[in-house]
Amino acid sequence: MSDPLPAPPAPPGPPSAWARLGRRLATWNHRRTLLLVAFGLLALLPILFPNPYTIATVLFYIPWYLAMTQSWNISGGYTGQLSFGHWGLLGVGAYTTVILAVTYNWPIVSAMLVAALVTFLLGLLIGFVGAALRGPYFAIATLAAAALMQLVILNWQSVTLGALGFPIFYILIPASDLYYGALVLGGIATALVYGISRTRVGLAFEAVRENEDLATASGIYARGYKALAFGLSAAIMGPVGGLYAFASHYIDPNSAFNLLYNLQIILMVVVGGRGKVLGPIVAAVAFAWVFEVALTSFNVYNYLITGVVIFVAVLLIPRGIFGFRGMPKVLQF
Amino acid sequence: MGFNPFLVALIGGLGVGSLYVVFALGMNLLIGVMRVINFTHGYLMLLGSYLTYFLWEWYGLNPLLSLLIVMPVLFAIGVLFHFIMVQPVLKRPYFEDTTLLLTFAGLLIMDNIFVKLWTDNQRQVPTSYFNTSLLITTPWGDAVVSQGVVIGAVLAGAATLGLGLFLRYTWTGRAMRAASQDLLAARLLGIPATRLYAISFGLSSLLAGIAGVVVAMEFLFYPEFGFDYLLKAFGVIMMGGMGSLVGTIAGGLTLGVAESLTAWIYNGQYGIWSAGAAYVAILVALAVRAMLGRSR
Repeated sequence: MSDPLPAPPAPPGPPSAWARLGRRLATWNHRRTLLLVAFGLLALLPILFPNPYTIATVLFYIPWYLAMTQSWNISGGYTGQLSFGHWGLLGVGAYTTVILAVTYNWPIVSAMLVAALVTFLLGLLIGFVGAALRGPYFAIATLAAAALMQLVILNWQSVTLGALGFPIFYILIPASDLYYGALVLGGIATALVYGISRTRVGLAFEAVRENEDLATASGIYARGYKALAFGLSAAIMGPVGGLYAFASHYIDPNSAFNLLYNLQIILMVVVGGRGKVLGPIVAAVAFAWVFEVALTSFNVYNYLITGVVIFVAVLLIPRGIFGFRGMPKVLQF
Repeated sequence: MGFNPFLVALIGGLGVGSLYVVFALGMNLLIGVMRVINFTHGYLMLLGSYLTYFLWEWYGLNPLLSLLIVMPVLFAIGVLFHFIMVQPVLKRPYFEDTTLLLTFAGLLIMDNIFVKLWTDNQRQVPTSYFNTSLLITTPWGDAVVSQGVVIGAVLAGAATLGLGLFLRYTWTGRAMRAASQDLLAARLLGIPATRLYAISFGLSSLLAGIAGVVVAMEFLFYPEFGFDYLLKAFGVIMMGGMGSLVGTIAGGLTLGVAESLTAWIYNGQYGIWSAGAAYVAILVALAVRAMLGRSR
């Protein structure tokens, strides 16, 4: 009788969740350290300048612009959809939050979550219908969609009070809460931009941006991924709009729907580099300071300055501030 | 027979629609020939309106005569814009997105300059024929229409016809059509792309100038007007088709009538929902295009 053969070694199973987490931590890199340092510094700001008036009128806008910039970056940077519709989503978010919180006395956080859901669904719809449109035509479609949202809010007077606007004076939120709320949103958006780039979904996003036909031929459902990218991007804009409403204590269809905000965040992404993570953060912080502090006495020239900066940035630094050849590699992400 | 309000709305809509046609034709020419969506087009039109206004205020020049000055000036500005905004980025990847951002930046700059120079005030060139109305009698009832609208419509029709003839019977016009069909083949046949692009931009801007003169005759205008008209032109182009002359004519007239009828249905409250006609037109046309699987 022959000896029985020794049992073959068991094939390695899929790594457990803990093992995967361990591997992730083992590949910790300078990029994550940089991002943590950046957000740590931003979190320190209200402690360094504790005056609530300063926080509410100046500091709040830094994470607020940061959240919008990274939100635009998800769709504008990854799938290459130039959105001129984020101002409409901002306004819808602001109105949804305020109507729920003021008219129906909802808790503010749940009102903002519902606003996020509403803008997410709107974003999915716009992204799905507009997915077949390339570049400029998508931009025009989003512009028209946002203008239509403004028109509906303006004319749906029984719910939105129309052109009169919504005063929100009697809901007071501590300034630091507004600040950290915006910072959390900025952190979520940044995590999405950074985290997606190393997942299957992120690779699909990039494939769709670089060559949609090829991506489709490789079995990527381009339309779904575009809709998803735009929906995620839009979901951030809902609570961002809610924060804007509570920070300004008053919204009307002209102040909540402001195309200038959309253009300013495009400026920040273009200066920082489309599809990059660190550049837009730096650009958002710098330009939030420029627009809200340095130039408050030149408000009438905001359009001019925004236009000139976009113009120069597009012509001279198409890859963003950290995109030059001599820049340290660690900053280029 | 008394007045027929439907007919009044219809004729007024056709009058405004003819203005949309001229305005959108200029944009569509650029889209067809060089795939550039020029966001400054509305403000180029306003430049024509303001030029007409100041020529009238300072020298008492009739708006129709000021066309002779507005057209060459706007042509020159268009050529200049080409060398500022399009020529430097011609060879970039994502050319369409890049020019979109550049022209949008141009829109912001022009808007700010207009507001600073000429304020938000509403202006108008009060010609004698603006306040004269014509009575039109038809078997279905009577209608009135302002004489200024008729003159504007005639002017717009002449400009459209002129462009059509230019594209059909001149060498440059044929070269433009060739470039819009297949740029590479056109260049291989010896068409100088840069010169052709500069002329196209100038011509597009010239058409904006003609629309501007019509606007100065017919409406109260102010800087924000440029942006409103831009969205309307997008509606026209999306309905009519990118780079199509006949489509633009049909789209422009349709949008004018649609707006006017929307206003009529809502009892003449023109501002409330009629602006939405253009947005809905854009979205519906784009959605249909998206479903048919064509991006242009």
